[in-house]
Amino acid sequence: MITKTVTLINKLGIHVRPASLISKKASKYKSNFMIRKDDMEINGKSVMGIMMLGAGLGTELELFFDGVDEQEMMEEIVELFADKFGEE
Amino acid sequence: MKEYNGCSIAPGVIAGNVTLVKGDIFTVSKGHIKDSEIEEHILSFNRAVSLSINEIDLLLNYLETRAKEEREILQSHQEILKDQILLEDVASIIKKELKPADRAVQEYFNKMIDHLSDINDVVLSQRKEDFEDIKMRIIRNMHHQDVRINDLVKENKIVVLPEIIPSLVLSIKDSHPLAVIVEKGSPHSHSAIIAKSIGIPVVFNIENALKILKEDDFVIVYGKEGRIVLDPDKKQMIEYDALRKKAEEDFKKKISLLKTPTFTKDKIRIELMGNIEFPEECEMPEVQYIDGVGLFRTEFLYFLDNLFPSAENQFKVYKQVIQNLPKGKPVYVRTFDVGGDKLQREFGLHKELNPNLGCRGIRFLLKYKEIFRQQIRGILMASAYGNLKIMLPMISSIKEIIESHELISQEKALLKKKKISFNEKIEVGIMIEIPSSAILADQFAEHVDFFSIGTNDLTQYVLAADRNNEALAEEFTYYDPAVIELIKTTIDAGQRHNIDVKLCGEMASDPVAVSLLLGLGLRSFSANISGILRVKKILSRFTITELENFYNKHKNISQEDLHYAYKQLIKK
Repeated sequence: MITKTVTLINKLGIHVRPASLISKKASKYKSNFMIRKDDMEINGKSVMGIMMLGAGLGTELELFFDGVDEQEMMEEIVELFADKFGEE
Repeated sequence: MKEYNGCSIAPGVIAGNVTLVKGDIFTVSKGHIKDSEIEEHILSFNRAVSLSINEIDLLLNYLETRAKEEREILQSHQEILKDQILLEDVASIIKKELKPADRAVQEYFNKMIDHLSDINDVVLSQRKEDFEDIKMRIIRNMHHQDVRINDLVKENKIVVLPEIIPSLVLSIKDSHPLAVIVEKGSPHSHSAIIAKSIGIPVVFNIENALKILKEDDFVIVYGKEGRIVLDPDKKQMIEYDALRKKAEEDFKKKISLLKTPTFTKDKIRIELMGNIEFPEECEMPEVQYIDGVGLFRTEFLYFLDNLFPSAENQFKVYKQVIQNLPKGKPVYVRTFDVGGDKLQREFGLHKELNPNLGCRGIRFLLKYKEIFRQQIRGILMASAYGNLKIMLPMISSIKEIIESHELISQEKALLKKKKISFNEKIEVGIMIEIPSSAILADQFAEHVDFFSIGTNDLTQYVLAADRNNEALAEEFTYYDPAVIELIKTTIDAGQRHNIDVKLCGEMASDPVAVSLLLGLGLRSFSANISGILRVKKILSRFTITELENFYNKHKNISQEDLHYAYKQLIKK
């Protein structure tokens, strides 16, 4: 299992579009993907779950990748956050 | 005097007294369900989700490609609807808590919305609207047919409603209100599209309208601005009277312009028709007074219920369209233009990597012949009541035309046997939207009664440029010389074989392009309703000789220059 901590740097936080982007990318992989914020932990392959986090600008999230392709999955997902989900 | 702002759905200005429709249009079921009902409720929920996904597809089709933001919002709603977790969570509420499906959906989303409201983030908490919207869409689709409020609505009043659904719009229309105000409603909803067609001012999203307004309050509704004024003062009433007077004059002018047959400056008669998607749109003056319906898209019949309707049910719709129009005016019914991408699940089709180059249009219809037969039968039955024509989409080979003719003949024989009347000589034509049909237009012409050029798809296929791809917005232009050349080939072939050539794509709604098309020899246009007046004015501005000369002088320049030259011509 790989654990990564990311901080949200896009202005709008995780609204519907980033949430669907994350879940779409994550669903391509076999590994499990969980996201934790404070005491809430959700399945990162679900748009609803990610939205439920209500993660705004500056929020810190813990990402857990677990499975055969966890390395590639982690790289692609972390890249998404760094890229601010393609927003300016 | 007080003013409230909402969102504009349909234009017009009107003053009057309000009548409030309080409350319970969308109440969800109470109580608990029995163990034996669990499955049925989960099924009804899944069906409503799937209807909602298709409804958004329909809206995406309808929205112009340029409305990028609206498209993105709708697409993200679709993503949520497709979320496995959503399906599982709601199903588990139904199963474990024995709650009725509609209530389970409501509680699930309300929990989500409450949760987001608790978060100290203004930007994110605004996203609640997305969930409200999705929640309403699912519940609406669960309660689909059974709302009628005729008894609640009095004539000559401004109706105020908490929310709205398509069937409600139609039942309201029958009681002739002056205007409609809705507390909460999405401008991207199917209801909004239908609300535009009833010809009265409509404003959505006046927050707390049912609390602010009391029964019989006097308000002015400004449809175009999406604004209402409660208890207007004297100055506003004077303004209002002036506005009404002007609006009435404008309306009279518009009607008289629409009623006048279209001629070019040198008195050549041009046919101008309208494109519609819903039968109700026929009642708009833009459609009533012109030369007919040049494109009746029929896909909504499928998307409304997620089922291909029977011949009998289609017959009723086609008959309604033809009877809503003045006698004798033609309606070109385009048979279902749907593709495997939308119907994958229902038909167990393989996922297509490239749906636009896949099994859509006539290919789909010839593969699922029973669906095609039912539609042909429905159109034939309605043809006894008026001038209906059959238009086949996505034709790429003569073989497809021959096979379609074969099915049409079989259906005719069947109706004859059953002694059901229909128009024996119903015209059958094809859409010219795949390059092969334009290139060989001379050969295709021998098998059909008319051509109708679909410029959106033709451009997309000639240039191999996806019209929804933002990065290709510049490449995707019907001013490209290759596209123009194929349009010209089609028009010329039609003339040689003495069959009608029409054009019903985006291009027919663009005044600049219309002046180019007249010069190419096109004499029949079918425009989007919103573009009809614009196009009508252009059609009568020039002489054909003028436009032919202009085209010949400019035809060898680049596409940008050609577009520019025509823009200048129109500006003059």
